Amino acid sequence: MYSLSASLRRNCRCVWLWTLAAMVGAGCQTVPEDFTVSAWTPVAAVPLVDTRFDLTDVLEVLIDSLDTVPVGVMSNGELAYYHEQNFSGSIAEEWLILPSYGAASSFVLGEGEAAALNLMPEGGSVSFQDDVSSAFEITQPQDAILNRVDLSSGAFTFTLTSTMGDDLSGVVAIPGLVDPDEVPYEVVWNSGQFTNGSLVVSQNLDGWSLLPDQSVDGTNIIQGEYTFTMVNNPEHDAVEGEFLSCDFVLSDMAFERVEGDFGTSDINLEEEAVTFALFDDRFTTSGLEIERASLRLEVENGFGVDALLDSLDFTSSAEGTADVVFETSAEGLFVPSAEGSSASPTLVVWEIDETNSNVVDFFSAQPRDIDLNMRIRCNPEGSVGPSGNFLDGDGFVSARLMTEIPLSIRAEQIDFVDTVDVDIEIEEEAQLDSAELRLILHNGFPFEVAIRASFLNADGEIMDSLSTEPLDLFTLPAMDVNQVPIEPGIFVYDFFLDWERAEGLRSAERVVMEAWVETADAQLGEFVRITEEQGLRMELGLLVYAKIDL
Amino acid sequence: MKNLSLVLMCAASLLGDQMCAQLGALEMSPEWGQAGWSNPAILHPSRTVLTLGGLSGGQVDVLHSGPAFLDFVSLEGAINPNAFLEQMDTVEFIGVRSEVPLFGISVRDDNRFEIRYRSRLVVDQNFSYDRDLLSVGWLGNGHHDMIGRPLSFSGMGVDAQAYFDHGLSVGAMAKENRLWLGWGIHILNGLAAFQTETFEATWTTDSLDYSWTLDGAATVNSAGLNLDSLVSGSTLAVPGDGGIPPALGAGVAFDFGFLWRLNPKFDLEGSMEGRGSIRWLESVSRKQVDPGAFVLQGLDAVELVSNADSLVFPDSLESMLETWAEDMVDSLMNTFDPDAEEGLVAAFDTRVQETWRLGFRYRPVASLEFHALAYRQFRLGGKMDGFLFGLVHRIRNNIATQLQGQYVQGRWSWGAGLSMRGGPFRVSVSARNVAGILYPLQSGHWSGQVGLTVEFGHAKDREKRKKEEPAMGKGMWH
Repeated sequence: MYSLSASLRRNCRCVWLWTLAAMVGAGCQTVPEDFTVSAWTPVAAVPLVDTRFDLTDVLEVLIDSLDTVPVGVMSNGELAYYHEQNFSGSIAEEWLILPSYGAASSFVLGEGEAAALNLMPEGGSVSFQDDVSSAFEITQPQDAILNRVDLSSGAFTFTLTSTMGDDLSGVVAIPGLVDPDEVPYEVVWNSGQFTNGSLVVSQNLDGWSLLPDQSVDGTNIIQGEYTFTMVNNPEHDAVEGEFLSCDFVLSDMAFERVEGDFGTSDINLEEEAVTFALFDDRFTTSGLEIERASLRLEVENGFGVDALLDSLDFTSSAEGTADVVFETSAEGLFVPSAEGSSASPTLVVWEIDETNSNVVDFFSAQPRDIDLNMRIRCNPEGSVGPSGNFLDGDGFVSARLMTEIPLSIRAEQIDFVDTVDVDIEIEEEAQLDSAELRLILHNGFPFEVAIRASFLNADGEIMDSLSTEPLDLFTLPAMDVNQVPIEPGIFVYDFFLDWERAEGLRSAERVVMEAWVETADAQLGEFVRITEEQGLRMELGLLVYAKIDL
Repeated sequence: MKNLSLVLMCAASLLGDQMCAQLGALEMSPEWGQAGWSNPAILHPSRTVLTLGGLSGGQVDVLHSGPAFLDFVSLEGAINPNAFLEQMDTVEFIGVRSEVPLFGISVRDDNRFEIRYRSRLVVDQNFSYDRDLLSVGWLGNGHHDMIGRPLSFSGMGVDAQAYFDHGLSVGAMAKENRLWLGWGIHILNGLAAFQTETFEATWTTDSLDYSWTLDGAATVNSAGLNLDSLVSGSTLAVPGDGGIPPALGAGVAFDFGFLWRLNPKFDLEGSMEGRGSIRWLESVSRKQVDPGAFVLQGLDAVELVSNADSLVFPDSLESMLETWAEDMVDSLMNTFDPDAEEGLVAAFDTRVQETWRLGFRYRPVASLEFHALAYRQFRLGGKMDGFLFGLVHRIRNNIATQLQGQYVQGRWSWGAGLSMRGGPFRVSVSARNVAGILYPLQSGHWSGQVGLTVEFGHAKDREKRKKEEPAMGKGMWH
């Protein structure tokens, strides 16, 4: 080691100096104890919203309700306004009403008959026979001929009342009233069954049938027959004026099925009224037209009768004054009978549109009251024979009217004004210097919309606005010769917000929204069609200018 | 500010303005101990050299390719992040490489033959990052310099490996005093590795609608580190339980070198050092994210409203935003869903540091040597080319000093070294970038090497020279 030290002393002083200089140099540089840095001001770009609206979505937002906008897609992809109206129509038990039925007859002893009876030896008898009949008086439908009525419920009652002192016995029969086994009704009775001079017999008619007789004397006749025998009682002297009366009553009848000929009565479909408006009172329009409209009437017939649409009252009125009455050149609607039973109703459709009616005139920008009432007439070709018609107890006739208005429109000007109360709460955030909201709209609809939004304070003074001039929010897209959009119109708007502007917005209490809408080439009379493919793509992006003190 | 200071202190400790200088006195001259390993055709001046333990020749390189501390922080402590960004290249990296010799011995037979054995522990790490990453963090993606262009993070990656290197090499004179050849072999025992095999990531913010587009793919491999634990943030399990870790990989590397003496004053030399790799087979796992693209275009309000129970704002808005955020996270995770492979199917290879060099040495007098060489170096998936020139002054056979200049990827660094021998002991120190020591806040690239070796045979040679010829430096000791 000695030799090493000696060598260094003699020859390497420069090396030590070099090393010393390095150590001194290194020691002169020390890391500061405290650091300072300017404020951190990053700019963050964030996509907030990217969404596509079709017209239904736009309308949902406008009316603030989900799934209630009556806009649908037609088979060809066009959008259409739909309205559907259901008519409760007629049901069988209200269209054909079975009245209660009653008939009565009596036998009274005359002077001679009483004397003859008294002179008979003990046990001698006299027989007597009579009938009683009456017709069902069917008032609804008028002139209906009932060939057979299968009852689902009802009651039959006959009452015998006697003041005779001699012994009586007899039989009551109604050939036109048969039990489920088709056996005519018949009852055997005698005076021993009487109580206080009366005998009352009742029969539940569930499952029974009436077979009205269409005799030359009338229609829908139900006839009762009775016979009885008087046996001389030696302890009683018959006197003139003693009597035996017989009363028949059919009541509370409901049918399961009726067969017959129901004549040419009307079947009413309930009257309906609806208020129809394409726009509400926030809109004012000019030069607004629709190009097409159609009505589709569906009638479902569960009655066993052919029918014909006999009357259709379709009237539009504005502010109580009728201004449009429906006119059509379409053929009447024939409604065939149900097939065999009400379980197999027939469905027929009647379609009218702008080519065979004035239906387009019923719809305008202003609210309209539309009244609709219609009737169909059964057996339009006259008598169908005794069993040509049938009616089941659960039979029905109903109708549904569907309105379809394709959104093929021309609007020279639709103005919209609305005032919305607002309460803008923006809490100041120290680390946020300002922000810029970017709105990008890709308009694929064949119309353009300009909008202006003004923020008002409590005194109605304008505090701020999106722009002094209306913004072309929905820029008109590029269109082909058929007025079909081929490339969306793009609108870009940056809304800058700093705390000074936020302070102004905080004092705003209302926002006045104004919008102006015009369809493409409306001034030239062109109509545009709004389709399922058309839409509005909206993008919202945010630039955040942060300022963070470190 | 205290936290910031701590972060900056840590960062400053790694910063420097020099590219990593990968060759220095250690590799160039045998007095610093490793020249015979860098070029096995170069023989050591002592007949027998013995290195024992970690202090016998440890070296640490801490490298940062980005701006230096004082490039963006004043001595008063005022930080200027914009200055940092302006002076960054597209991709910068921080590398730490440590080599700790465990045992080594070399035996020379005159200048005809030398055989060497060395075991050492090598820990090599590299973290690279993109300027865009820091730029977007400081300026924000909405800044006019950021928006509308792809921000690339594809240069990012972490690579690290630790292994034992057991090497055997020989140098031999192939033609009498004209040509020496050397070759060596390294048996490599891998201890742990982490490899970023691929990493592609770009983030583009649309300048019109501010939508984001994220493209990316990645594959990372590890041995000895449980990636699932790493991803989930749970305790990281390291093999070995604190003791000597087991060998998880095995490999082999080769060296080859030559030295051609054109005349007594001029030599040509060239070598290839460390061409080989480690195959990691145990405790390996792989996480792979297939190429995908995720586009964030904002909330689809119509769909959310149509699925909402009501239109009552803001109550419904909160739930809608929660739903949207959950959907976005799910979509993002599905797009960049990492697939995991474990076991043999996840085996992977890592290359060890490999250096190719070609240069000359010129000795105008016996005690002075000028050398210059060009080299190409492969390290942890990267590649760099450099040019080095230097001067070695040998004094009385027991002191050597070295100065060098090195040009790597457009930047210069200046290094120096000192090697002293007294009796059987030799102490050597060197630095590839002296400025990093003198002015750490302005440079910060530290490369330090210290060696303590035991040598035998040198004094005997000196005695023999006294008898036969005047004392003189032996140049390359051949």
